[in-house]
Amino acid sequence: MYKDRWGYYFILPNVLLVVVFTLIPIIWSCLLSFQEYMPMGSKWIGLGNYVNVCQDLIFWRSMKNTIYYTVGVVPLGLALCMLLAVLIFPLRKGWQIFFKASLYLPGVTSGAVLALIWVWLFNPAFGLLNYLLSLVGLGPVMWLADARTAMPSIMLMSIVSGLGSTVILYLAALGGIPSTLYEAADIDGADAWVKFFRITLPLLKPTTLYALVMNTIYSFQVFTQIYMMTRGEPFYATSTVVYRIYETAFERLQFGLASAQAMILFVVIVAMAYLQFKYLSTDVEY
Amino acid sequence: MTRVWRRILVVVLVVAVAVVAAASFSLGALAAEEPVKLKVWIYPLWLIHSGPDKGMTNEDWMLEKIEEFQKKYPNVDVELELLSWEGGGQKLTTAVASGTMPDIMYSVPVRVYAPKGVLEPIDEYLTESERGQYYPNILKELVIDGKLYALPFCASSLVLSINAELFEERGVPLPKEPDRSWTMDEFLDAAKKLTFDRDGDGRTDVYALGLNGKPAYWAMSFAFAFGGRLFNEDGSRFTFNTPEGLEGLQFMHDLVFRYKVVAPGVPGYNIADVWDLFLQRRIAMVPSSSILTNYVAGMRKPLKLVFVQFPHVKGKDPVTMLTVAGWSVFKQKNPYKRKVAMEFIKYLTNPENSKAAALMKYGPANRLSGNPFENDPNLSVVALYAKYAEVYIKANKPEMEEVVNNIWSAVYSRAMTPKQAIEYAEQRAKAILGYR
Repeated sequence: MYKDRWGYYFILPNVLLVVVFTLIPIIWSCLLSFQEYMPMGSKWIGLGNYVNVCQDLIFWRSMKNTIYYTVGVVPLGLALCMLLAVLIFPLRKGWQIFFKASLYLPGVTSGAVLALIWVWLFNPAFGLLNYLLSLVGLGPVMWLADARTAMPSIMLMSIVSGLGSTVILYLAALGGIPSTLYEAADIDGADAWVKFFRITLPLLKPTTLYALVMNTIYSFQVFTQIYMMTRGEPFYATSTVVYRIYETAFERLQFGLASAQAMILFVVIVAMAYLQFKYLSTDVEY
Repeated sequence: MTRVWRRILVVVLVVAVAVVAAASFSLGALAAEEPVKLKVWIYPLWLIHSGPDKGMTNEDWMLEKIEEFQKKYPNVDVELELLSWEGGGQKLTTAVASGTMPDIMYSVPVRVYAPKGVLEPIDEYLTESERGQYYPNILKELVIDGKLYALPFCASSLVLSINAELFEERGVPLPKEPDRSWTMDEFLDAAKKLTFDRDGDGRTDVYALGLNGKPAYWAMSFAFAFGGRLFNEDGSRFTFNTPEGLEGLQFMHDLVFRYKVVAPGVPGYNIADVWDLFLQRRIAMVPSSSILTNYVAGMRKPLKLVFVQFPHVKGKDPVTMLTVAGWSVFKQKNPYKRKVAMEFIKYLTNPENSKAAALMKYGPANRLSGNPFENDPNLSVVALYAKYAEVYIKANKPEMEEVVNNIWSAVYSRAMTPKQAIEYAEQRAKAILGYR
């Protein structure tokens, strides 16, 4: 180990960053979750904050909304990304670059800017979406203003704006599948569907698992869209766990309670990731 | 000279030297008072659009006031920081959480921060005559548990802002002068005419009224006009579950869903969105404060803005909400620094300096500053209307803000009927305020 000490020196800056900006805040937040926070001096209240979270109907409604959002956005988003990747992959390099850049563009745009644009697209009276619907005799849809359509509207925005990085992952994975497998399938007379379901899909499984786990984690942490577009409205229809944590901490200064909510979210995300790895991970070699 | 006289002379000289030295020492102590650094946070409040001071902001005004204050207190160094309205609140919360608050700040939400013990009560630094410079209802807005936590700088009442060009286009008369009051029936007649399809394509181009989702207080005057009030005098009970409260809420529900005179999508709008639509001439009326004057002045082609009263129910007074903002001092360990901070906010809010509130088109909270809007017919209406202004929420629990907002949110999103929304709010109020 002493011989390899230079390696440790090189990773030290990153390790320090993780310790200072991730590990210590997590430990601090965990400690805070057992206290009633007061800026001029907090006091220990044991499991009091956790009891309050368990009794907070709005927190559980937010958890339900978050699960609804995740279940809606992640599988549909992954399916769409895979479809786009499969359609883009056979194209010539120039077109591939064009589509990759187009799809990735929203990813480099600020989430706040995207949200503001979508707010105006969704405007029930003067927005573009309702105008287009009116051309075919439909609408108006209340989009963000109706409890039934608000969350699906945000899901639509998240799916459309968040395709880029996963499409690029899939394209890279498609490039890694040996062409000999497809040639062998051609010799055996397999059609495109069979090749997709018997070769492409199984060999994309590691990428799908990675994208599934990461997108699930991101979806459980959905905040910017909610903060910028609805603030949890209408009547909690779009309130999510992270938004609820934000409200508790930053609008009511209940940092202890907010930390307890964050710890519960942490446990839920870890459990979800564990289950996904347990049931979906396989060793794929090619 | 005899020895005795010589001794007397020596004693006199020694005493004289001692007196002079003592006097010099105490003068020196006064002049060289300990250095103090005050961290002051402000929001952007005004930008002058025309005249010799064109381009001047409240930041420039503050720098001038700091310089004046430093002439009296040369040992005080003031560090001024301009926040943004978007991120300022969050910055303050983070600062409070990490113990890096400013010493002085404008427009602190005292209802949230005073119960957390981070603000200094101001009462003991005010003389009776200084306290008497403010109307009791203005002070009441900034008092928590009997203590004053901000020194008022400006005060105003909410009004209904009207685009008079749209009224003219539809041939709708404006509310009568001099006080521009009107009844609910007159308002509703006007609203129906002001919701129209201009180009005949079957889509409504202009809506009479714009309402926002959260916070609900901008348009609460419509509901309160029927007589219902959210809380009792001491804020210990929710009192909106009455026939009057329900009637008011039902009226607002009907404006949106029955008469359809409100721009659709209410829960999705914040007040800035609604003002945007008003400035785009897509809405004829919006609840606002007089600050909207500044927004209109900044337009390339300003619309014809007229302030009128919220409509009243026949036989009842109109109702409006009071808006007050002032300067707060955060907790100080050093008593001298606390005293200096208090002196500074008293300086900023003295009768002369409070006149600057007029630059935001708000009235000065200090009654000795006079009425700066005497020659402005529009803003005079605001001043006239102020006698009906009420403090918005009297419950001191910040959680009640969410409960109140949800009454309107549930109704606007059709998640609940007005009756259900009020009953649900009452149920939650009982749990939060702790009564049965």
